[in-house]
Amino acid sequence: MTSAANILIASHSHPQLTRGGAEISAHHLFAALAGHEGYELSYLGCARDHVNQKMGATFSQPFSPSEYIYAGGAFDWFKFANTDPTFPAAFRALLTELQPDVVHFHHYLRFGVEAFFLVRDALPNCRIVLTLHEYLAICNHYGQMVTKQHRNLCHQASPLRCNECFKEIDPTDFFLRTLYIQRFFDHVDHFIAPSAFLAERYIAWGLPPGKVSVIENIVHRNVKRSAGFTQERDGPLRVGFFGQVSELKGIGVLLAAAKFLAEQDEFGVVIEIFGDYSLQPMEFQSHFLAHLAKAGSNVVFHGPYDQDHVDELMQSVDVVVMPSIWWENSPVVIQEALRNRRPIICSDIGGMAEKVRDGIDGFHFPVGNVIALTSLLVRLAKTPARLKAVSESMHAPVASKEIVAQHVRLYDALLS
Amino acid sequence: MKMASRTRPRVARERRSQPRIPTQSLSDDAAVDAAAPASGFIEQFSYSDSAGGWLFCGSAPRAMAMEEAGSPDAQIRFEQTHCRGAATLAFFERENLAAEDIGVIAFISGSSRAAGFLEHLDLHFGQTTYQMQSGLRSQRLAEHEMVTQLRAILVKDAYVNTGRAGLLGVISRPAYTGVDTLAQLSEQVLMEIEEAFLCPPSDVLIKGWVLAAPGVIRCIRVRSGPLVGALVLGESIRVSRGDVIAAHGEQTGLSDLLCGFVTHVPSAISKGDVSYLEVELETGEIGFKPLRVSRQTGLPAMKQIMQAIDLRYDELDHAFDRILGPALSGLNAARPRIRAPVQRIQFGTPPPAPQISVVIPLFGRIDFLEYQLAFFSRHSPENLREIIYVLDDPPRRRELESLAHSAFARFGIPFSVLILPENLGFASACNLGLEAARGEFLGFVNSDVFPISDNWLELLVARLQRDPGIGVIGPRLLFEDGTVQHEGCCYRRIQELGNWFFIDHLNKGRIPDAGRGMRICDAITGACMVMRRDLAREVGGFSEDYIIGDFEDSDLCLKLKQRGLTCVITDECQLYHLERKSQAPPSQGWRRNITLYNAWVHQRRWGDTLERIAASGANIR
Repeated sequence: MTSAANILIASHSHPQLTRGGAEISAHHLFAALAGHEGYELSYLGCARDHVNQKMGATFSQPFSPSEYIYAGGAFDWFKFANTDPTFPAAFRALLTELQPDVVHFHHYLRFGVEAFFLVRDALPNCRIVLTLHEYLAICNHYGQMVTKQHRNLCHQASPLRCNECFKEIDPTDFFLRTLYIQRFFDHVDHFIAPSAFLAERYIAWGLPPGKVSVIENIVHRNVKRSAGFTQERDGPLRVGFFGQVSELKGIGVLLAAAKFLAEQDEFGVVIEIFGDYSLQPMEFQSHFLAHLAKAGSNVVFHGPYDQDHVDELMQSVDVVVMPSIWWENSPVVIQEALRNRRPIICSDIGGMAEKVRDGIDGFHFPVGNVIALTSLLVRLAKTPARLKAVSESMHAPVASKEIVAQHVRLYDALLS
Repeated sequence: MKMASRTRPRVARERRSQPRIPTQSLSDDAAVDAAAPASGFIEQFSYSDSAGGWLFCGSAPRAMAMEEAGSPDAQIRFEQTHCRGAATLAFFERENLAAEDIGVIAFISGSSRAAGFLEHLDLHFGQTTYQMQSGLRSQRLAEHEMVTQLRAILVKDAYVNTGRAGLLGVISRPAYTGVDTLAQLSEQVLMEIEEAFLCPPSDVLIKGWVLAAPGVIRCIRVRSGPLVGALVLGESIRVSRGDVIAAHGEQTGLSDLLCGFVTHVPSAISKGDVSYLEVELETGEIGFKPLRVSRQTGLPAMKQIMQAIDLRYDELDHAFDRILGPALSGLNAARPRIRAPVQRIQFGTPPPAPQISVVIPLFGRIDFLEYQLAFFSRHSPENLREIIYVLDDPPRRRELESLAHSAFARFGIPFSVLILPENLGFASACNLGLEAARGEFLGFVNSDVFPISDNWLELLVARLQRDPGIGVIGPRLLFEDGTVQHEGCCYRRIQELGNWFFIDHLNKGRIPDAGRGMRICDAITGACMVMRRDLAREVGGFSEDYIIGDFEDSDLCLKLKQRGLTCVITDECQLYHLERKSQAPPSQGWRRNITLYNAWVHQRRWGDTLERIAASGANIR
C-alpha cells in the first residue's frame, strides 16, 4: 500500500439516513481509507425526500467537512436517469473543487448513470470505479431477476423476455434502456462485484471481463469473531431467520416447512423469525399474519431487530436459515452468521451457494423445495455433532482490513 | 293589407313616366346606399328554406313594373350583412296605394344568414336603382305564413309575366319545416344518415343507409340555403349492412345487404344555413330528412370517414377518384397551415456556421429526445451540428420544455426546439424545420432513430460531396435484434389494392449482409435521409398532401429522380430504427384506409413514372 490519492466515495445514501448494506459498506470503506496516510477522502451520499435539504443548495454538509449530501430531485427509475437540472452543474463544481483521482460509486441511483459522463467530462484523467450491489441495470423487476408473474428465477434478460414480465413496456424500450445504461457504463474504468455470481451475470449482460473484479463488501469493522457453540444443546433445534420478511426472502417456504414439521409431530425444530414486514405490500402482510396465527407453537415471530445487536440474537439460535427464492448477491446475514459461527442453511442458487460451501459453511437445499428443507432440518436436529463440526469448519468472514487492502491495490493499478 | 278585389289577373299596363334616379356602379355600395332615396316600402318578408332565398312583399314606384330587365340584380341590406342575387318579381294592384305605386312581390336566392335588422332592398335595373325601405311596420313572417299570403296574391291578383310564373314555382315547393317526413310518403322509404362531414368549403361526405324498393326513388338532393347537390346512390360506395337488414328486412320485405352508402356531394352545404335531404319519388312526391353536418374537421373527421370502409380490387379507383379522394383532399387542404416564424427555444449556444443541420420531428414519445441526445453526446464537439427538434404535439409542450432543459443540463449539446401551435403532421413539421435550418446539408431523422457509431452524419455528407449526382443518401437501419429495418425501397403493384403501386422494403427483417457499400435504390425512407439543404428547399421539402405520414418520402425521392438525381443507401454506417410494432389494426381500420388514400394520391401523381421504373427491371444495382 503506497501512493497518495484523493478519493471520492459516492453512494446513493448515508448510514446516518438509512441502514442498507451498500451505504454501510461504502461508508466503512470511506472511514477505513481516511485513516491511511497520504489518502484524502470525501464521501458523497444522497438524501431521499429532501431530508436535511437546505433550500436551494444542491449539496450540503450536515455530518462532517469531508461528507456531502445531495438532496435528490426527480429520478427516472426505468433507465436511472437523473432529471434534476441543477445536479450536473453542481456536481461538476464539486468535482472541480475536490479534484479526486478516483471517484468510486456504490450505486448510480439518485445520481443517475449520467454521473459517469459528468465525471469523465469534468476530470478527463480521473478513474471511475463502480461497485455493483444488485442487478438493477439488468432487471427492471427491482433488480431481482425473478419473473413478475410467477416468481420464477430468470436466467437472462432480453427485450422480449423483459416484455413478458412487463406487458405494458415495449421490447424496444427495454432495448433502449440497456443502450442508455451501457452508454454511460462505458465511462467506468473498473467494476467491483461482491460475488462471483453477480460478476458473471454482468459479464453475460455485456461488461468486458477484464474490467470486473470480485471484492467482498465490508459488513463490520474490527469485530471479534465468536467462539462457536459454547455448550451442548438440549431442546429443539433453533432455526433463525434474519432479514426482511418478504416473499422473495423465502418466508413462504419457511412457514410451509414449519407447517410440515408441526404435522409430523416433529417438535425437534423451532423457527425463530427476526425481521420487519411493514415495508411489504398489504396483501403480503395480511397473508403473513394469517399464516402466523394458524402456525403451530414451533414458530416464533420476534419482530424487527437492531442490526447492531444481531450478534446476541444469532448466538441465541443454532443455525441461520436463508431460504431466499431470488439469487441474492452477497447477503450481509451470511457474513454475520460466519462471524457468529452459526451454520447457514440456504437455497442452492446465486450468491448464497457461492458464499456458503455445502457441508463446510452450512448446507444447501433446492430452492423453494419445502420437503427438502423440512427433511434437512429434521436430519440436523437429530445429529448435533454434524452442526458442531460445521460451526468449527466455517470460514471466517473476510476481514475488513483485507477488503480495504484489495481496494487500495485496485486504485493503485488504475492510477499507475 | 287590403286586396284589390279582382277575379282574374291583369295584363301589364302601359308605361308611365317617373323621375329617374341616377345610379352609380355596383362596386360602390356605400355611395349607392346614400344616393338612392326611398322609393318603395317592404311590408312583409321571410326566408324560405325550401326555395333557398328571401321573399318580400311591399310597394314600389309603378315604373319598376315597366322596366325592361326581367331579373334585376338585387342587394338585400341588413345592419351587418348583405345578400346579393338575381331577383324574380311580380306586380299587383293594391287599393290603398298612391296611384304612382304598385304592389311588388320579390324573390332573391341567397343564404339565410342575416345579422341585424333589415334596412332596405335595392333592385338594380341597368341605369336605374329602386330602393325599397324597411321600417317599423315591416314584418318578418314565418315561411308558411308568407307563402300562404303570397300564393293568394299571385294566383288572383298579380299581373301575368315570367316573374309571376317563377314565383309561383318558388312558393309551390313543399316546405321543409325541420321535420323528417319520409314516413308520410306513399311508398316505403327507410333512411338513416349516420355521419355527414363538411369538406371545406361546401362539399359534404355522407355515410348512411337507405332501404326502398327498386324504382321508387327518383332522386335524392342535398339542400342548404341556396345550394343544391345531387346525391347519386349509383355513384356511391356501397356498404354491406347486415345489421340494417336484420332490423328492417322483414318489415320492408327488402333484403339488399348493400343498402349502406358513402357518398360525396360537392357544393351542397351553405355556411350558416340549415341542411337537409330532399327525397323525390317517381310519383313526384317529396319527402324531407334533416341533415346534421358534423363540426369535426381535420384529422378526427378523416379518421371517422375512413372507418368501416372495405374496398378491394377495382373498387378503389372509382371510390377514391369520386368520393374519398375529393373528401379527404378538401379536409386536408383546410387544415391549418402555419408558416414561420414559429416559437423557437434555443438551448446552449448554436454553432455559428454549422455544416450539417438535423431536423427531428417529435410526437408522442418525446422522451426519445433524451435518448438521442445521450447518444449524440458521444460525438466529438469539433464539428458542431445544428440540431432542430420540432414539437408537433401541443399538449406535451410543457413536458417537453422540462425534459429539454434537463437534457441540456446533463449532456451539454446545443439544440433548439420549434414549438408548433397545432399538430400539423410529419411533412409540415419537417418542412418548418427545413425553413429554419442553416446548415449546407440537412438530415431528416425520425425521433426513434438512434446512432450506433458517432460520425455517421459526417460520413453520409462526405458521400454527397464526393458525388453530386446523389440526390439523397441514407444509412442502413436496423431493428433492435440487428436485422434489417431498412435498406432501400422498390415499387410493386398490389392487385387487391386497386392494382396501385405500393412500397416494398428490401430485405426487411433479414440478417444484414456485410460490406455491401453504397447502392442506388428506387426510393429510401424518410426516417433517416441526408441531402443538400438548398436542394430540399427547391423541391419544396415533403409534400403536405399526404395524411399523417406515408408515401411522402417516396414522393420526395421521385421528385429528385425527376431531376436526374439518385437515391442511395449505404451500409458504411448503420443506425437503429426502433419502429414500434403497433397493435394489430382491425382489418377495416381507418389507419389502413388512410394509407390507401395516400397510395391514391401517390398513384395519381406518379403512376406513369412508377410504371417506367418498374418496367426498367432490377431494383438492386
